[in-house]
Amino acid sequence: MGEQKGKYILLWTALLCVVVLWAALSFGGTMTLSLGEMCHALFSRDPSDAAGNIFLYSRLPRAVASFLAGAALATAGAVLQTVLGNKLASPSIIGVNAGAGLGITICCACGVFSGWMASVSAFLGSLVVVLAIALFSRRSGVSRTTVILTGVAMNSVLNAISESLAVLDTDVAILSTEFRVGGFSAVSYQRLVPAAVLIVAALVVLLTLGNELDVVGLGDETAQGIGLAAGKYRLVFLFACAVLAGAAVSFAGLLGFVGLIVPHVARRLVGTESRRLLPMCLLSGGAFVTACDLAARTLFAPFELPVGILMAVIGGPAFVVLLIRFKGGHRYA
Amino acid sequence: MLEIRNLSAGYGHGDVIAEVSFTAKRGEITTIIGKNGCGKTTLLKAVTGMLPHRSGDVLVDGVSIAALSTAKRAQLMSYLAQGRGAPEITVGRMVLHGRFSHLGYPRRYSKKDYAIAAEVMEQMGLTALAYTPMSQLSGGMRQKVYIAMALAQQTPVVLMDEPTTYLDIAQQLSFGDMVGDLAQQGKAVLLVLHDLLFALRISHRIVVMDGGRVVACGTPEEIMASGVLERLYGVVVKSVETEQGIRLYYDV
Repeated sequence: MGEQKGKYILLWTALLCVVVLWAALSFGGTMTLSLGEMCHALFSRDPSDAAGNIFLYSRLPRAVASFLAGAALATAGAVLQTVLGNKLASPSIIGVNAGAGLGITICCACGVFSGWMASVSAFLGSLVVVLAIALFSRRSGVSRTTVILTGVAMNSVLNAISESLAVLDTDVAILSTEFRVGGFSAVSYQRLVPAAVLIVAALVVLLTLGNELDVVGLGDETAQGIGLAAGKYRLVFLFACAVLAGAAVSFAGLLGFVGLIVPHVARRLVGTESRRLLPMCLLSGGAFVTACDLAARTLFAPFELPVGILMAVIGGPAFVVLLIRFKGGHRYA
Repeated sequence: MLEIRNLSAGYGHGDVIAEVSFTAKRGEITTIIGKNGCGKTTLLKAVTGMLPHRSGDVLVDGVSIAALSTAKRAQLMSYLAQGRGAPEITVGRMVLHGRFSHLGYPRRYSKKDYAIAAEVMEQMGLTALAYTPMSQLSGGMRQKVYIAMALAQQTPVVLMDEPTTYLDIAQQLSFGDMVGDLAQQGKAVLLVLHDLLFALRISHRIVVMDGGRVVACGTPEEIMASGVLERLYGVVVKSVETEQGIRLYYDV
């Protein structure tokens, strides 16, 4: 991958993001909003302005939420794949999202449905899963495939516990089906702002540590030989992934596959080095989920699909293709 | 100068190496030899500080490495590990990461780092492969990239564990010349080698290990004359004067 080509692809992806966000803000419902109406809504804050209210309280939080969730999950997927040394790792497959979901479910069982507590409990749920998998993957003799299968098993167990709590506790049942498949129809600033702060902070940390991530990917001995305390940084990266996945799940629900598919596509476009891969995942993950959410809202209007269903329809076949192309974490191509 | 003083280290409860002491001088190639499982790799890991010391100390030019950070150690010692995979990274970037311990804030490589990496790639004949992914290289070429990465660290001490694995005979001879040049530049070069004749031919000093301990240490001539190789390997190494210089062979 030439230096210039990589830069151009990133630039074009950034432009695509602008177009997708504009489309989501303009056409994400029955009323089409012009750029002028959006600017007017931002600066006038007139409560009697219907278009302004739609923009400020429906379209804007939803577009920002879908972009942030996609950016967070795709970036977390790319980082997990490097740190665990397995291309089939992603937050939804190895149970990180399910851990966050259980955190949210327990939080709801305690009567807290949004705000900082919800984001933090989702993060703690993700962190426990990520650390458990990291510990397991470091045991000698455990193959990369076994690590993934362990994550898949944890995913099932955690989802089963969440479902059981939903059956046993009526408060938890308030968590809609949309939360379990993933979607943005119930997003609000109260839910979004704490999670957005955590996501932006984790993304800044990860984008700064691109070289460190590449060096961790070289293996512990090589990393230490060239001056990186690999164990310490592995924990930093896993912690950041838990923040990203936990925060995204706290307002988007259990969105699947974005953390798996987007990093693979991004690698094909800009190569494997983190200085290009992570910004590419951030931009393309955000654009992908925002575009899927726009499609979910408009394809069958006036009915709306939860975006998680649409993404599963795309993601399922893509996952099968990846499984065929990679076997046990080793690429044959 | 690399000084190893009464060094003991191991995994779990037992010591793999015990009371190891020797010195690798600047301007010399020192090679550790010994049978499989005698603790050569463990010794190198302990010397780099990757494996905690149970007792003893390691000093580079009089400075103990025990109190140094991982990055500071990597500025004093470069280490080519025994296990070398095929990471998903290009050759150029891999060699550039040899400069990792010199990274400052904002965590970006400087022009000087790029220039050093380019120079090392030129020296190793890797320039044309700069944008080639490591996964597309043969074992021998990958080995050269790892060696180039270690050279890009520009450290006074160079440690290499089985550096000639995967190298064909021409590449091995070229490697011998290259480590000779490193020693001439004033670096202390410490190698672990399995090829006894190659080790005796290129080294200034030989350290013989058995059962986690140093059983002999000296020049190749002293080691050959001591009979330690016969006791350890059951072979006698002899030398013969030829028109091209002294040649070594096994007398079995």
